[in-house]
Amino acid sequence: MKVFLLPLFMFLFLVLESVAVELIPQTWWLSNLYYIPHWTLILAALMVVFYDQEHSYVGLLNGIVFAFIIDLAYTNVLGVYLLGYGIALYLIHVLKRFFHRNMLVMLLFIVIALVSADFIIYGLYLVIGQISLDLNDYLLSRLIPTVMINILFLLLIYPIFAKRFSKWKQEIENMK
Amino acid sequence: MPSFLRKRKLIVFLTCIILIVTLIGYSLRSDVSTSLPSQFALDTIGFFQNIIHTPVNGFIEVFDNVGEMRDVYQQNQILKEELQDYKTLAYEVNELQRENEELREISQVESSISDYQSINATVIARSPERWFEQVTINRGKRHGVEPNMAVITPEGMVGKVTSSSQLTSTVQLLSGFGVENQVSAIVDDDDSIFGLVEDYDEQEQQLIFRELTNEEEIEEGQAVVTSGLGGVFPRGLMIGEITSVEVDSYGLTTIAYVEPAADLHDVNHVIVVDRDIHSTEIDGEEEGS
Repeated sequence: MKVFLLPLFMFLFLVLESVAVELIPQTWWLSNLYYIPHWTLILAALMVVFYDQEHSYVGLLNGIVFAFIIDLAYTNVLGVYLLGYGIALYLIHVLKRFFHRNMLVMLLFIVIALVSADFIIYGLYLVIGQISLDLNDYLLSRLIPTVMINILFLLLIYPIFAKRFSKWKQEIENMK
Repeated sequence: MPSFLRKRKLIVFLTCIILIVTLIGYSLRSDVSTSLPSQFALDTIGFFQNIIHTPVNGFIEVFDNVGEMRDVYQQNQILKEELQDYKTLAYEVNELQRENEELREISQVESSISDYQSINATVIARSPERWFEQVTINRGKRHGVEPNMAVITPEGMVGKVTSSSQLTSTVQLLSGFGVENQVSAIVDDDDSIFGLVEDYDEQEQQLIFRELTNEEEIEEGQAVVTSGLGGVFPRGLMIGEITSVEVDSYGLTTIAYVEPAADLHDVNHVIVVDRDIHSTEIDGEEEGS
């Protein structure tokens, strides 16, 4: 039954994301940097690595559903986050077979996921003409701060969720 | 078996790509109105955003208030002095208003495009992805907020409502304005200078005002306000102040960089503006386009 708790956590982070952005003060020396919280992506990635078995897709599905909700609620264009998060999470799903599951590997996964997701989102918006931003400016003012702030977030929630998810996974395996 | 699996994955992948392209194409239509399911999703999310936002914001405001305490005495002194001026000013304004009403009665003009009703709202969330610069406010259709209404703070205009559900609405900030939502504007001192606020320069963090009348009389420091001729916004909402004037890349028109009057990074309490005169044909269409 723990499966039904996962979307609840996702929803919580989805809401927190937007409220946090509104409340983070924008001081003048940070106003040129944009840090975009991808907290739902991080939580979904933790699910993929620690909760999912070899052939289950709970994390991926959660990520995709909530990516669609982000599209619906926070942006003008549907499907962009869907693709970005989908591909990023699938990458992790493929990669996780080759690594042990620990903190450092998780960091690596998150960096890969963040860069690929954010870059896909940027690329798609650029292609359909919603934005016009130089690649260099994008890298400096958006991608790097975004990755930094999200790594910080991962370090915060890793201790809370990693163990919990592995425990739930154990419970499922024991039931069989 | 493996080859079959691989083939199945390929098919799933291709179907996904096709679906997503369709979705993007669908949502890029210009006449997207908020559908019932998405209204429901927005309301649900808005409800929880409200729940979380209220206590956290209260907490933060306490800290801000403590910080402000130190300046209060000084401010108080200055304000007392200014208050004297305001009294005379208020008297004058009253007088002028009465005179204005009388004159309108005489000329039988009932209401002008500068009149509006205001709806107070609080920003409860900001779109976490910062490409579109949208915020969510806690007033919706139930409170009379409709798409395309202007949104202001006491300092000046901050944006317009793009979509509204029953209890919340989404506001597009000026910093995310593009070709789809231009604002028809005039320079405050001079009615003959007419133009469009048509873009936002991310590097300079300033709005771009294109002058259409070719008078070439705009100067730095002049105020740019809405003209009310786009059909949705009332006349005379402050947009910002001109900081520099240039000739555009074709050498045909002048463009001016406008510093937004309102602080677009820190928007908390806003006023949604409902114009008194609705122009029936233009209602529902984009401002100025």
